[in-house]
Amino acid sequence: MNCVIFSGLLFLSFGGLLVPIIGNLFKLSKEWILNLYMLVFLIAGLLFVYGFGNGHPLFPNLFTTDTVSLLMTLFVWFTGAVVLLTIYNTLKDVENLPEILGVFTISLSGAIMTLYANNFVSLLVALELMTIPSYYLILARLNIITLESATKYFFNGALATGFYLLGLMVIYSIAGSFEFSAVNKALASADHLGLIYFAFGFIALLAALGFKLSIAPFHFYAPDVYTGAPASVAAYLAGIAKSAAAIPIIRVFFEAFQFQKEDWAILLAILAVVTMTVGNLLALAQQNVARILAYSSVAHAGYLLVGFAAAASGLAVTGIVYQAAAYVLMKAGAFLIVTLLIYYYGIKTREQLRGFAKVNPFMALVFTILLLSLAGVPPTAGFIAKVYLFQAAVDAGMAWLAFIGLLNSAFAVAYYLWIIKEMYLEEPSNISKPADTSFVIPTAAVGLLAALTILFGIWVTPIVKASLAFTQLLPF
Amino acid sequence: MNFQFSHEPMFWFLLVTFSLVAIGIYGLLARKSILKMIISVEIVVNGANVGLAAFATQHGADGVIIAFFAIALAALEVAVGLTLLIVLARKYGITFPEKLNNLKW
Amino acid sequence: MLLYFSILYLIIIATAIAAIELTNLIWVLVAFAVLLTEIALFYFSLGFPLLGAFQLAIYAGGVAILVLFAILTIGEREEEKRESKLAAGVAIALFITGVIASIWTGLTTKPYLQISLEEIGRVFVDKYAILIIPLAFTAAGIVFGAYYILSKKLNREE
Repeated sequence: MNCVIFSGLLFLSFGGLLVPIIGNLFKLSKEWILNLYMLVFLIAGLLFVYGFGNGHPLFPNLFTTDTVSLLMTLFVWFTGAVVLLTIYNTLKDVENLPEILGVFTISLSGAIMTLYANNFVSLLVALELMTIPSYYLILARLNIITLESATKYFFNGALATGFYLLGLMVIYSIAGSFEFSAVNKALASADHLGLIYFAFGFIALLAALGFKLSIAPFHFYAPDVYTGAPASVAAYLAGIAKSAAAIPIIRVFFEAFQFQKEDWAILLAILAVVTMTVGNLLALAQQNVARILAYSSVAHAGYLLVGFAAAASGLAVTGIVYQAAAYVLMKAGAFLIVTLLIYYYGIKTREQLRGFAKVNPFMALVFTILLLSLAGVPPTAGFIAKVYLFQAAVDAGMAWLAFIGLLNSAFAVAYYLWIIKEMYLEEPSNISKPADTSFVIPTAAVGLLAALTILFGIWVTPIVKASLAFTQLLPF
Repeated sequence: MNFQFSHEPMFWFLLVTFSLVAIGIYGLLARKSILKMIISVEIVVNGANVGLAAFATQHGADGVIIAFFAIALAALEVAVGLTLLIVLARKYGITFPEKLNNLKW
Repeated sequence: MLLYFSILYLIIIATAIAAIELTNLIWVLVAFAVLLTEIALFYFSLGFPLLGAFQLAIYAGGVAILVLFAILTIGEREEEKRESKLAAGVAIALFITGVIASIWTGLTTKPYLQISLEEIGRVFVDKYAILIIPLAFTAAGIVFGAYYILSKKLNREE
């Protein structure tokens, strides 16, 4: 992390801290508060772009700067701005709105900080900065459902911190240091006893990081939390926070734990199969659109695990990075469209979506593009991500895993296409008109996300070059 | 007053770590009430902290510093948990986790 | 030494189990505070007085008081008793695994390093000082979130 990028992060956090205070001091109206937040995001984005080449490296034992983290910073920053806009538009009737937007901005700066972590300590602090304010984000509306989902999310997150510290203790007892490169050297020269301890520590760390990614034995909180929370907050939790946690997991597994050897491939492959199957099969039975998206986020975590299981191949890192980058755009965009549907039209289930394309064709088109990208249909970014992931699985000698992944993608296409069919091929049956026409700006913003999805499905060069440059830095 | 043990085996500290983690996981699985589940999470984190500080005597000062950060972060997390508990108790009178079953499966 | 350790260990186990099993919440709080103080005593005996003081100040002086306020809000009434065989079984299995693991690893240890206070400070400032800033923003986010909930709570509306 350079000084410039860190100053961008500080700008975001201070913006989230100071804008509510300034709004209360000068009695600004809500539109001015939104303008101030957009100004904060713009200056932070300019600082991030400026920090690409120049800037003095800052604490190189804690943070690193490479191409993948810079790329994902831009994705997370842009999607965060769109989510902020939608939260503002759909929570307008709430008082003290500037404070909850400030909490969101602070949490987003924590999400960006996790992309640069090179050390277990800084990863812990950045993950906690991302998740502790997000416990309050779920309570943007205060009723029994959001309280229940906040309680479940809190216990899972707190237990994840405990397991993280346990795994960290075991790794520390072998390696003596917390940096990923030092752990790498210590594990390469460890004796057989050390490797057995490392196995226990790895299981504990996998449990902790698996809570954040909602991988199979730890996915039980995910559908309840993503459905109970307000859907724009679920866009942040299920879309941005998951992908922002996936990048340091690449660093942990590939740089610190040397997954290029075949030791852990079978365990991760089995977890990937279970996660994908559970997510896809349970999504087929749901009627609530938000719940369908919540289960499909579990399935996408399974696809990510396919990339981790295929670690012996050189394409695996590219697949994981592409999946993480595409997933931010797709899942956040899909949940944001669901937010707009719930807030402006009162649409919650699949039957209520019938004939929506005749009511609001632009929103239906944006939703269709995002759903097709989630399903993995060309020419979208989701398709390219799945191509790289399954190719990596075949290269690593696990063709059965790629076959099961393709089967699961076929299952997923079923429920995505069902939603699209309901929107386009049916007649609308009493969909109420929206109260005002202020849905145009958020729909246009999410339309930008969908356009980026198509763009990165055709123009694969920047993400592939960034991840290839990152792969060369890893000790293969 | 020198309490430092310079020749004890590490066995005792590791025993404390693992038994506290076991008791904390028992508390989380037994689900007596939300307050006791929060206390169980604190017991788990404290157990892991003792383990980290114990290994810091072998490898240097890094473990002590991460123990500091872990103490601070766990204290912040328990503040959030207690806020949730107080809002649940004052507004809805719920203190047991079985009463939270409004989300359909 | 063996006697000292075993007494300390028995107190820790007893208070930890008591903090989960007792039904009167004030005694749960007392057991919790005693547990935290005993863990601070462990830190003192490892040779880290700074860490022990930190633990006493933040946990026994902060978290225990927060739990006290929560108990005053909830009410220190008695609770129902529910048995759970599965949880006890899992905990005993974990405990036995932990005993075996600690016996296996803990019997041969290198001599302890003497880490002085200046060395802790020097390592902290050299390597980890910047992580205070995210910690501060976490605290700021918590304060904002709590203010947000509080303002909604007083209005008693959905």
